[in-house]
Parts: sequence; structure tokens; C-alpha cells
Amino acid sequence: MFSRVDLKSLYELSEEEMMQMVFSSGDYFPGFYRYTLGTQKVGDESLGLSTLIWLFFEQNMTNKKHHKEFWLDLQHEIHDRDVASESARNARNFPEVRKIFSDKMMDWYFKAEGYDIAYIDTELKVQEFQKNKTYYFMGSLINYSRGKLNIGFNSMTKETALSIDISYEKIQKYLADTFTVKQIEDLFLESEIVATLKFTKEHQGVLEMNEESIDKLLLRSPDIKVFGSPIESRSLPMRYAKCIRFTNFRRGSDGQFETWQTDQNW
Amino acid sequence: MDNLKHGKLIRIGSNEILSCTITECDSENKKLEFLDINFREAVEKRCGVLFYEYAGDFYYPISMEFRLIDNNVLFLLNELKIDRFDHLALLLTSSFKREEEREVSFFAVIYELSEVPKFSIKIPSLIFSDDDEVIRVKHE
Repeated sequence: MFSRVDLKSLYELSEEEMMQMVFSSGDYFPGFYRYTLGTQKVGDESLGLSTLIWLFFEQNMTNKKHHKEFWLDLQHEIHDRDVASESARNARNFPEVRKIFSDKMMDWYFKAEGYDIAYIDTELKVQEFQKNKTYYFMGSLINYSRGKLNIGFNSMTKETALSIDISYEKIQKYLADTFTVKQIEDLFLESEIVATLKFTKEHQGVLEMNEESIDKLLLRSPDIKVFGSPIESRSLPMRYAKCIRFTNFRRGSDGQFETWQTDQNW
Repeated sequence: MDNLKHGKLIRIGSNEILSCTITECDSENKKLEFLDINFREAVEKRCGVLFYEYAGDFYYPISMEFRLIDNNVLFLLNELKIDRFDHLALLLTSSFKREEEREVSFFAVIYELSEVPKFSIKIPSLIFSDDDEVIRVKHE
């Protein structure tokens, strides 16, 4: 139940040990500040991949953009719900530090200069960790390409927070020895950063997508949801542990996109 | 007591999922003690957070970000910009109390280095106060 580990050996991890350490974190318990997306139900109020693509098409064809408050309406709602629940459950549990936490949470998602948007496919069952495919694993986007295991991989910029120099065969063997088929299915989800959302001075959202990848994305299930991470967090290995959710849009009677809840006027 | 080089931090030939938590630091022998247990069965009252220090800057080991699954330290320090260890400790303490109904206290282990640490992320700002429990260990 207890183990003792030399600080020196922990500090001097080899590339192979670092790879093993990352995969050893696979767990059904997400931690206090993480989500388990594999089991979390995300409803229609949350932006989906197919709508994101149509918003991008609409922006390119008609130059129509949406205000930051529209994009983040759902996230505000989630934040307010969390704060209300905090107040109800934690009136005497360090209220001053929980207040700091709530304020910093809002700054984190609202003051971001923009977001990298990733889809996370919770429907497709992953059978094995394949080369040149990106997976969501314990809040990180992980990919093996060009002889490296990339942790915190960004498919739009090709940047990675950590690159581990290791052969694919070693990874395959380690995963086969360590995970059951069910654990692989549950803990690895196909995922990829597919868009960037930035804002103009007037707070209008501008989407960027890689047009060559859109055809492939349209083949995915229409129910797949997308999640955001602030651009400022690009250097972090686990930036999708606590994701930002965007408001869903739907076509109104005039054929234009409007937010899922239309009673707000920004 | 497990004698593997990295204890249960690295799963070798086992499908068993174990959460690891730093519970003690033996600064004389430069060793960390970990409790390795399913998170739902964990009972520890004391948790350590390991930092590397080089040239006055603090770094967080990526291995710990992944492996200490009960806290997502980089999210709190680098994304939310919590810049005081006592605030970090209070937040984690309150989360344990709220979610697990357990009283847990936090201490810091600072491993002092003479080079930029690999496999780690620099923390923009982190202040320790005199009241924080901090154990310092020098790398040789």
C-alpha cells in the first residue's frame, strides 16, 4: 500500500519511464479539477462538431459572426450553477478561498484571448492506440507521430507540450501489458483540435479551421461535442482536463444560426 | 513497502488502477513515501505536492501532474493563476472536505536543482509563507 521512491530517480526519469508514467495515470476517477468525458453526458445545449463546421461555412460565405457572450452563454450558466452549488454546500467550508477560486475560474475562461476547440468522440470505441491519430487521455491530447509520443498535441499548430522520444513498438507493448481491452475503450477517446476561435475588438468570434480536414470531420457522428481550452494554455500537457463548453447554435426560421436559448439580448 | 524503483507510480504488468499520493518526505534519505491505493479507498490525512526549484523559479513535474490524479496542480497554478501555496493548499483541502468528507492537510516538497529540470513546466509565480509546511531537499 505504501512505496518509497528516490527523489533522484523520479527526477531522472528516462524517456521510456516518462511514457509509462503518463499512461499509468489512466483512471476512472478524474480528480477534483478534471472531467471524465467518457462517461459524462453532454446535452444538446452544448456545441457539436457538425454545427461548428456549419458556423465556419456561414462565416466564410456571409461573414456572419457571433458575439463572445453568445459563445460563452452556456459556460456562464455552468459557472453560475457551480457557484450556486458551492455557496449552498460550502457556506462554512473556506468561503474566502472558494470565492477566489470562483473568480479565477471566470477570469480563466472569459478573459482568454481565444480558444483551441477540440472534438472528443465519446461514441466510437477505441480498439488500439494507433500512429498518427490523436486521443483524449486523462485530460491530455496524445498522439504518436514521426517517432515521438506527443503529449498535449495541437493538430492545428502541430505544437506539443511534451515530446517523448520512444518507439511505437515500446508503447504498444506497454499498453498491451498494462490495460485491458475495456480500459483502452473507456480511457482513450478519439479527439483532435479542429478549430481556433478568436475575437475581434468588438468581441465578435472569428473561427479558423483547416479546410482540408473538414470532409473527414463531416463523416463523424453528428452528436459529437466540441470543447475549448484557452490559447494561453498551449504549453500545458493536460489542458483539456477541465474543458470550456460553448453554447450550441441552431437554425432559426430565417435559416440563420441563432443560439440554442434565444431569449437573451447581448 | 514496495521496493520497485518507482513504487506503483509506474504500472508494470498489472491492470490494477492505483492512485498515488505523496504522504511523507524523508529528507535525510531523499525519498518520497507514496500511498498507492484506489482513490475511493484512500484514507490519507496528509498530502505532499512536489516542486522543482532552479535559479529561483519553481517547476512542476509533468509526471506528478499525470500521476497524482487527486489534484490537477497545473490547472490551479498556471491556468487559474493561484500564486500562493497556502491558497492552493486551502483549495485542495476544501475539495477533499466537500467531495470526500475528509480532513486533509498539504505540505510542499521542494527539490533544489542546479539545472533546468526536464519533463516539467515552469510555474509563473508561487509564493510560500512562513506558515506553510515546506520540506527542502537538495539534488546531488
